Amino acid sequence: MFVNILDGEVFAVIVAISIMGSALGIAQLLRSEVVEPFTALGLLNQDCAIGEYPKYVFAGGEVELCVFVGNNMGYPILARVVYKLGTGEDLPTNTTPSTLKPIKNFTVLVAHGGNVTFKVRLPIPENPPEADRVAIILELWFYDPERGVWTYSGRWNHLYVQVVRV
Amino acid sequence: MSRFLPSLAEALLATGLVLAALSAVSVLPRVAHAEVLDPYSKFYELYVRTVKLASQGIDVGEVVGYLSKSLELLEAGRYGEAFEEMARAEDVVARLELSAGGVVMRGMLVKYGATAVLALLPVAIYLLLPRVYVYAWYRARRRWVVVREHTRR
Repeated sequence: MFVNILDGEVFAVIVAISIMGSALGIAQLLRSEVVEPFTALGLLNQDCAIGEYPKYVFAGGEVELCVFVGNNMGYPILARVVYKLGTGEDLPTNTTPSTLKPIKNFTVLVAHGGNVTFKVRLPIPENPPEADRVAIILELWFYDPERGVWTYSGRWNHLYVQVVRV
Repeated sequence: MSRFLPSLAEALLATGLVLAALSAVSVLPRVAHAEVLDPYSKFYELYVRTVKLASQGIDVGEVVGYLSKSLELLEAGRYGEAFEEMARAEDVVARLELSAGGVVMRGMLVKYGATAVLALLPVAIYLLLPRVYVYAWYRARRRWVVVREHTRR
């Protein structure tokens, strides 16, 4: 009787839309908050912007840059940016860090869904690697709260510069 | 011979001195241990507890703020101030740990309650929409007067 008043086809469309909306809403509610966890590492110039990176550095001097660390792991991460200086052959990979000895570390705590951008002063050793251009290497490590050890994240950046020896 | 033997008072005094020396020796390593305690170990402990809370869906923004500040101070070698910040962080962590069970339960109730409401929505629309429509249809026309067509002539 009621369906006769409300047109049957229109009613069917309304119910179909409500079922679709309900299914989509339930899927949104029940899906995990972090579908694809990831971290991010960015290398910025001394003004904390992309581009206009230094081309020359002085042996025994320092180079000022900015580092960006982003976190979407679902929990706050304790991140460590490890600075190394080498050549193109010493670069890390997505699975293994560079074998070079760290020169300096920068540790920051980044909340979930947040990011941190901070300035770093990277010392250039008096006797840098002998090469036409050397690589400033920054690796992202994070503290594994379950194992209690620092773990390489697979994220890294590098910047080639020429060393001016005074 | 008896002058070489200690009197009772001297014996008690000597025993007391030996016991005091022994207790001092047993305390010393603990004090030394406290002095050489790694300042980062407390930070790591608090961080791990914070991650556990965060993984339960609890808002740890306040703790992260304190821990970030303490980390900056630790990196700067200002350990005294860093420990003050960590003490604040520990207070908040302890409070959150106490209320974690209730917060998680409330979160689950809201989540699954909303899911149940959404699941029942199509059924409710199927059952109620026609009735509401009919009610509204009649209400909109309640002042209408039904007149026979032939009586108007």
